[in-house]
Amino acid sequence: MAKIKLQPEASSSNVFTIATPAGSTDYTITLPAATGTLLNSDGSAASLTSIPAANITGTLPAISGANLTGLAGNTPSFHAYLNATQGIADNSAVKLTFMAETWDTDSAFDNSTNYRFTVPAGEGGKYFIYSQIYTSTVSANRIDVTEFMIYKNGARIRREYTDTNEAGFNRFTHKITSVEDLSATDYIEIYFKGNTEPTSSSYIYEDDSYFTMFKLL
Amino acid sequence: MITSIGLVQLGFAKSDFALQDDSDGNGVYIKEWLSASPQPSVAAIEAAEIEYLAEWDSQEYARSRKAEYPSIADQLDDIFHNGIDGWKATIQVTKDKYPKE
Repeated sequence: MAKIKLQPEASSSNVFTIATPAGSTDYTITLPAATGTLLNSDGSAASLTSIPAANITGTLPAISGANLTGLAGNTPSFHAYLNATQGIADNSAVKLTFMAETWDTDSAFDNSTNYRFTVPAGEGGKYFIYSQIYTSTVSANRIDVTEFMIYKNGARIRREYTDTNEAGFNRFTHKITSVEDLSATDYIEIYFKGNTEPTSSSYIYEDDSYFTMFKLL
Repeated sequence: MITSIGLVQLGFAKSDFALQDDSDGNGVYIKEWLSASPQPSVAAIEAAEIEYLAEWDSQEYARSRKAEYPSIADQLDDIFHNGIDGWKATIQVTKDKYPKE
């Protein structure tokens, strides 16, 4: 027959109590056939550590998205586009004037004066940047070299460069993408430079020419 | 107005300068002057551009003729079948269509 041995520490004056719930039901606690220390359940599991991952099994309960709070909303964000053809002086870096907006969650894109997105106060972080433009020149000319650029605070930081080795093209869609770490008051602008031969400027058509950004995190 | 054409007409290479337009109503300006030669005045650039465009316009007939002349292969074939006089008659049609001003 098994025995139960209680062995208090000799110098301790602690009192350990085994309490029973109210009622008249009998309960059984079965101890494991091993030597070790019982975990103390603290109610929040905050003090439970070093549990082997292999011992954590089961299926997570389904959670409705309606109950999730505190998630980032990927804002500020905006989408601006050309609503009129913009002429580009030959061999000159020209800021693109995206005058129309599809949306602008924080009114952070200036579509009337400076044509730039400025990071609002408290909204620093990593931002996704994308722009594409549909370029052309008159049929008698060709665009030989292009630079499609992202400017940060007035200086170029990214560039999509094309050199056709004087083969040239007449119509082309350029695209540029980047993720940048921005701080409040930083501003982003889009510039285009086209080396057109033999005489004419190039054009950015309003169709398919836009500039969009959103905060990643 | 500052233009790349005017600067090139003055003898500068496109690598000698960087032009920019901030779309603020002030037009194109020279952001960086990279040539060892002095930067020309705006008036000199404008005059050079006018000169270039006048020269360009004066060659309109030549560009039109070039676009319309038969290919070299066709011209050789024309000479073979019709002789030099026949070939000259063919070419003269285009020259008459686009006379020098």
